[in-house]
Amino acid sequence: MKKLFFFAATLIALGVLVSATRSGNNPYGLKMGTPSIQSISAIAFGPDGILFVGDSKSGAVFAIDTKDKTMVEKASTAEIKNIDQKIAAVLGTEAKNIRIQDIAVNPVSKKIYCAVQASNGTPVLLSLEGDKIQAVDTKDILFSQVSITNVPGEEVKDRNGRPVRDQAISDLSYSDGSVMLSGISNQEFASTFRKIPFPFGDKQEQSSLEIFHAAHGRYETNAPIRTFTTAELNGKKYLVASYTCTPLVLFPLDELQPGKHVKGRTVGEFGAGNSPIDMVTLKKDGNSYLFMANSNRPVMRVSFRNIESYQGALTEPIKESYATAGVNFISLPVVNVLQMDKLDDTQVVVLQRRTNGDLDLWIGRADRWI
Amino acid sequence: MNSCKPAQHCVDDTNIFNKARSLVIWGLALLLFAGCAEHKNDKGFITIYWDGKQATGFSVPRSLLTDFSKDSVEDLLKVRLAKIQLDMLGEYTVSEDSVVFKPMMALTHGLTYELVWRGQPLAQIEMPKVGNFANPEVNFIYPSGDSLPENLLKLYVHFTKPMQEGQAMKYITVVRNRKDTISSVFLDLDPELWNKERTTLTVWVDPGRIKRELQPNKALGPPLQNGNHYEVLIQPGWTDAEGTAIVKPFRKEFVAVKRDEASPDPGKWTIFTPKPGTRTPVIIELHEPLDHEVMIHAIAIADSKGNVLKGTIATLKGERALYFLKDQPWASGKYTLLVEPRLEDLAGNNLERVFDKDILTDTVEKKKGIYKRTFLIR
Repeated sequence: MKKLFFFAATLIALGVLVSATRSGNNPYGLKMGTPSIQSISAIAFGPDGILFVGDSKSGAVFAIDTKDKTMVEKASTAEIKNIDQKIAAVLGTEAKNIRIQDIAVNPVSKKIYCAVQASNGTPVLLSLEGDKIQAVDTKDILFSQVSITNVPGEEVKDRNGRPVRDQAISDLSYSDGSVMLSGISNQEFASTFRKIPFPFGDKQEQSSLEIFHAAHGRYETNAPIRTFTTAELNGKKYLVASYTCTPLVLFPLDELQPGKHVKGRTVGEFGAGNSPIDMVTLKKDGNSYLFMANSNRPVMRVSFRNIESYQGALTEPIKESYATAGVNFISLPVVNVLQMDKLDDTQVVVLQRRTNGDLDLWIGRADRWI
Repeated sequence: MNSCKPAQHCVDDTNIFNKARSLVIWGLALLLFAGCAEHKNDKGFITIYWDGKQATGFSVPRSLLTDFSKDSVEDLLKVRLAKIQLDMLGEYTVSEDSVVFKPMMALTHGLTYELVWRGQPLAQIEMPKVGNFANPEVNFIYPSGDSLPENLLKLYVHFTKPMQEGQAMKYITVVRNRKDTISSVFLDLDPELWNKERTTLTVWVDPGRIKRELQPNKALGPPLQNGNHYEVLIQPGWTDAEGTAIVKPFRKEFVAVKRDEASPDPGKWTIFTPKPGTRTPVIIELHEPLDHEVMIHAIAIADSKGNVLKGTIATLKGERALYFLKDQPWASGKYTLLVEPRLEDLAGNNLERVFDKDILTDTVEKKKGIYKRTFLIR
């Protein structure tokens, strides 16, 4: 009887050991393997050093464990001049053959990560250690993935059974247990905004939302979101979205539920020919400020206090011109910003094309910008 | 000391220059090898791994690596671009007779790489220019018609080869009335909207300028105006994924006509049915040009059992008509035309809504869901 007991106990122990090493009982459902990343359109950090990678080509979002979990309070990252040339050099090519697609800062370690695309399409993930560029391991790592190829609305089946629409991922973000992603179709004039619970489940629980804005409360367009972020106003969480048609729109995060048709509140318009690139929120003296980097306009600063106090007025359709009705914004003397991300509560990392053509990575201090 | 056997290219430590030169020569000679991943490298010279047209790495025989240490090979063997002091990132694989270095990106044709061992130059290898020298071209631009509404929303540019991303706004220009080059017509979108193969680019006319009442529209006016002649020019210089540039410019000319503010109406389409037993295609006259890319994906025909038929859909007459060609002859019976509500006309009006819906005046709720219309073949 004892022998049987020990035998059974050993088997159970082995079983537990085997299953533990296989899946690691990873709290985020990550499994060991090599993700097949075909392109990197956008990157964003989740909890515990998990990096989300938006891959337009394979129509998926990957969650990869960077194992970069050591907490650092204040970032000590150096600036890198001519970062495109340095990245090209460590990849063994010339600057014209690479493109920095996105940068993201690990909020735990404050390390800067860069998503780079080669001209032949090879995606590359790098991290910066001071001014040293390092490779991010994407082979034999803990990861998971979720497909984003299912599209909202009814489809006639493709005659060959494949999903046919390609989607460019314009922005990616993580907040409160969900990955959020804005995508733009390469066919119809439309975008999808998805909220995907993380850890990724087997069931496609993601909600695909129709979020609208109305210019002057009159002309309504289902326009694509170019960039977005989340922010807290008056204790409530909002999605702050910047559209390709220029308006800045707010949506209460708790209203973004599957199947819902959510209309946001336009808080302002930011001018002709404006293409927003990145948005970050920084704090100073207890006040929050939204900073928007634009393709061919200076970085703009909007005070959340102005947005908060503005809300009441927007329930009515606006009849006057947006030049006076929109929330005030300040243009900073910072132009040609290609990427921007929050480094810590008081600093932001900026990738900027200087007037002499150099592409530099530098750190901006919030107290200089506010 | 020279310990070479005759007729064998070896490394002579006493003459770095000769060694480097001979390795360059041998490096070049070996470039013709279509590589397979063999780790056995006992030939005494550095070889290059090939994966199709891409050079993926270097294989260095251990005989060239004096005082070899497996554990510190990553610190001792360095690869970099010639004249650049930064070491390349990559993967090292050590086998019995060689060390293979694979960088994160394929080696670039035409550049020279330097291999360094224990701080001393080991070899210099110049990558030749290999590849498909055919220049990429623009095949066509949709919409193909020469009269387009002034609130035209999109253009689709089709290329013969996969192209490099991020360059579109540098090479697309618009000329108005054969004399003025106008700017800010297209939205500079990042990411650019490409299909998976990177052979079709979707370009948007700035929606902020088309859309009524937005600041860009009020400040700059709509980008295209009724009555004007426009030429969209794709200029040479745009490179494909392999780095080869377009040499032939491509021009698309059109005249802007009045705004299109109505949704497409499949109920008004005219369906021409073939005789049963033939393979003549079903032809549908749309009575207005529609968006090419959406059209060919959002329209299908189902048989009487509801099965979507396999076949080829293509557009005709400047996208004012389309045909559906089946592999098999048509059987007589009832068929259903299926149209997804996302079907758009050239101004971005789809079946469910117009591009910018005036919610004060446009209060009729259009029917949602897939549009269905039956027709008979008899």
